[in-house]
Amino acid sequence: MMSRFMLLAPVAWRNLWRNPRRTLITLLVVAIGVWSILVFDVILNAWVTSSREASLRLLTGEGQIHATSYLDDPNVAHRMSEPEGRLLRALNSPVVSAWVRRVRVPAVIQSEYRTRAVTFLGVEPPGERIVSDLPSQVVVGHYLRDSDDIGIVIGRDLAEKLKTRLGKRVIVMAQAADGHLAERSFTIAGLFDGSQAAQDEFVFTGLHTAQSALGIGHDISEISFDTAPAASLNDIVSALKHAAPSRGIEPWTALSPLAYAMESFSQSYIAMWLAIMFVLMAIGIINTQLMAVFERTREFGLLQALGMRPGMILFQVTLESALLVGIGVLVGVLLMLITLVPFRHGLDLGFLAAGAEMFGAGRVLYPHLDPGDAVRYSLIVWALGIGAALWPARMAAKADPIVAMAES
Amino acid sequence: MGAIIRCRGVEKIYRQGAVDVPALRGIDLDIESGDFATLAGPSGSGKTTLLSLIGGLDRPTAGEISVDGEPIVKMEKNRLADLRLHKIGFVFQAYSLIPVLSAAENVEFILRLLDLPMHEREARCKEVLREVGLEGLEKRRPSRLSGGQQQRVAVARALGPKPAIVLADEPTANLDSKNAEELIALMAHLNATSGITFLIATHDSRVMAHSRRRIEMMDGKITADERQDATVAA
Amino acid sequence: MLVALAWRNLWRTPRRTLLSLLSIALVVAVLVFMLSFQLSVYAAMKQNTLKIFDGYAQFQPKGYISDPALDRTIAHAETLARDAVAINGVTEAAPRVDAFAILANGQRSYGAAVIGVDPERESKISSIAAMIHMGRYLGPADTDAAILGDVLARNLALSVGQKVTLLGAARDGSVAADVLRVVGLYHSGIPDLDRSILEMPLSRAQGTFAMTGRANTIALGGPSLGAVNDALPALEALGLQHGVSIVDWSTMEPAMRDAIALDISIGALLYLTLVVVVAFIILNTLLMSVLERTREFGTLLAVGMRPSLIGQMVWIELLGLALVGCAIGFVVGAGITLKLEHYGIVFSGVSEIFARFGLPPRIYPALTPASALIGPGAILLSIALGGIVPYVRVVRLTAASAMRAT
Repeated sequence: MMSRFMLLAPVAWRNLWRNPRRTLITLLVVAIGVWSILVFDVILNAWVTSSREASLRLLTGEGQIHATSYLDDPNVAHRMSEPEGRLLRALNSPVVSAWVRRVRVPAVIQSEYRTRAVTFLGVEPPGERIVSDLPSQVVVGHYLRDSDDIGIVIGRDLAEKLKTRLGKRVIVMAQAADGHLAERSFTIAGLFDGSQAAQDEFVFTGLHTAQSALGIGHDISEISFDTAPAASLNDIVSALKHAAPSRGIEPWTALSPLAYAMESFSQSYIAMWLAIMFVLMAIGIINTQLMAVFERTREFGLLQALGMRPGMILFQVTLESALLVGIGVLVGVLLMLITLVPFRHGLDLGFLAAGAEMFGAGRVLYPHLDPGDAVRYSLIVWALGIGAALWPARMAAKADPIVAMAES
Repeated sequence: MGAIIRCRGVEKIYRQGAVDVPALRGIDLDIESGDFATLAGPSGSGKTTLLSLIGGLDRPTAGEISVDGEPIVKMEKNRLADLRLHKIGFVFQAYSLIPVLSAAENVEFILRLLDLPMHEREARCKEVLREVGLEGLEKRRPSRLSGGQQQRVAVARALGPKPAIVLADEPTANLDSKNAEELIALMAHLNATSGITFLIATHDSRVMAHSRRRIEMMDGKITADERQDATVAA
Repeated sequence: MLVALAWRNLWRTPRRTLLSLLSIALVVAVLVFMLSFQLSVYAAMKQNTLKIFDGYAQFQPKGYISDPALDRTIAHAETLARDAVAINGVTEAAPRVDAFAILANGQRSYGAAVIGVDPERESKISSIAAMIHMGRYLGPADTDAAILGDVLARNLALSVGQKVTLLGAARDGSVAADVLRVVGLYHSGIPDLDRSILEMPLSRAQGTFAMTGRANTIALGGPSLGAVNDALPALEALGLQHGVSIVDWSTMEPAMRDAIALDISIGALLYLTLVVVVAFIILNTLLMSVLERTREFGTLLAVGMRPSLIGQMVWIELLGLALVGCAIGFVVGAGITLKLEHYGIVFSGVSEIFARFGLPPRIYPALTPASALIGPGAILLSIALGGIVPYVRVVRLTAASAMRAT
């Protein structure tokens, strides 16, 4: 087999270039097809990653722990005590890379001029800097310093809507542990940028400040955690469930179903595109190779007359197609890599950012070609391409050796 | 010497639409080893058909053919291909080279199909190209060779595997007279020096002049079969 | 004559012609179907999202869109509403009070938007009335009634029949307080909406928030979004008389406008590759057949046929191929679309995504002139343009060189 390959490969290669224009156009057809499949893959992957990141790196984390009824009704009444004992040990195990405690309740924020409904969070600033991107998105003023910080950090857009600014005072009203409407005044310490929805919804203060404002002692609303790179999220979730059976423990897939659904949706979308593109490429390949074979009927007759078995002729024509499609696939991958160069630092969706946010993604997409996907799709196209080319190859193998003889 | 080719009662009928066209009507023929035979006759007399049946390119309607003792009429396709590879060399009227391969590669291609080791292949390749007088042109592709040179390559390629017989179908038809003369002389010389058997279908009188056995055909039958002393080319 | 010749030439190589037809037909069918699907998704997204609450357009006080404050009001709301429905394409105009208050039930309190609405007109513009799943929607005779989202009700531990207390600021800065009876709960499936809105009768809200005779917005409805969009110039003129702005759907829902633009851009890129690929395949095929027939063209030239005429014949072959392919693809694509227009396409497992964009789980693609013609048009155009290449090749032939070719 190997010696046959060594014998036929150079012949196949030269045959490809007997009609360079035809070969080049077919190469282009395959290359553009592969390119479009990969572009699609890259865009959707960037999308999936971005919407995952946008959600996970905002507040979700990779998983959260709540009192069981909190998610249904995020009320101050549905709080929980600080983790201790087995749960604390589980959270401090090396598979959990970071975790933070939060108070998180619905509230109303009031400036001198305006009132809006928001979600009021008490956070541990050092931990938040690890699990969330939000602290780094403060563009005016500064983020909270520690859990005792009495300042408040709100979205820049919210500040505009409240007609207030850095250093001004706002009043936050929220239901306290005893049921009365707690009211507390804060000085705006920082304004954060980022997703519009987050800017309008979340306001932050120190964990202890929030706890005392609501009169909940050391109780908290949620724990958000990240996992170590190699750890399995599902294993950690079940370990935590085991350690704290009475609490609600959810992975991000349940907390952000949109980001998760996006991921599975994109897979079937790519498969569909692959199928359409492939049928087109197959027609292109079959048409060219059939023509190439018909032109060379006499030559295939000659090869048979000289003693080449029909199977070998099939092998040779298939080899030609394999080379043709293979080069096309490589060119397509190369084109894709070149396309990515201008976007290596991210694709800023700029004026369409609000639209991107609606799809759950961030303003900047980071397209990158997953080597696994590139190899997988390339191989699929290549294998299917060779499969399609078996038709012309069979035609070649069926050539009658008698056509090699002179016309008589 | 025994017969390399043996034909007994060979008939071939082509169907053209609803009409049966008989091309061969009962051929009995033996070609002895070392022979230099020509098959002559007008167009349509059946000589090309006979040659293609002997080469196993097509199958007779009736009769028996054996090559070097092996009956080929009912032989399976792949075995036929192998038989051609090992025992039969072909030289066609035209287009008989693989266009993407150089002169040497055309010869070597067949030797590689035979799985000869590399050093043997190279030696043999050199040898046959020298025999046909193509030294220095080994690397040329067919498109850069003259018609006569192309046919010499075809002869060299046919000789490469040391076949039992070389079948040539109108090898001089596309050549001018000088090249035709040289090609015939070459084949005659090879026959004389290496004892390779040739069976050449032709209606070129110059070729017939060289042959030691003249077989004449007409309407699918052998009408004459006579030995003669070959006239040596000037 | 030329057409007949071109047609017969195509069928000299039936297999090749059929494959070419197949590739054109496939692309056209995909384009017709995908565009029908996409455009109808956009239409459904817009229509459904706007129908939930916004309306197809709104009259708003100037500057209200960027700073929706209670004290920005439309003074003679009823007059403007009456004039608005007189405009062709607008069938409903519902004035609203859009205030903010803290809702309380015993120990629990939440902030929410409090919307004063005229139940009769409102129910024709907003689908909240149709989303009531417990109790009933507001009626014309209601005075102290309220409906609210089920998430909000759950958070406030409220159920139908119970009372809810409102506490907020009125337009004149005084305290606005009221007690309303919950008559119904709605469920839209959009979490933000279900936890943020309470609706109450318009006149009561005007009293509570010191808004007598005034409204913050007037939501407009019509037979379709398109009809209201067509009426925008007239509405703008009317708004100018009253010193208020008309706000169209894209201004109300900029995120959706951008999302659609983004989706169209990505789609366009992909469809373009389809068209390019198929054009390449067809051109390749035709170029080859021209090369094969060079000798034949030589004969035609030798008997006196003008090169440009042969070129035209080849071009007509190409165009004929494209036309037949487009026709087949169109019939298939339109057929599938029409079939699904009837049955709808169900996307299982992605209702989460769909709901977020205001889409039902079953989508009905619709064949429109745009979705039906863009695909075939693009293919025909690109193949007709690409056909210049073989045309030029043929026209450059000279009889002698063509005859020599083998």
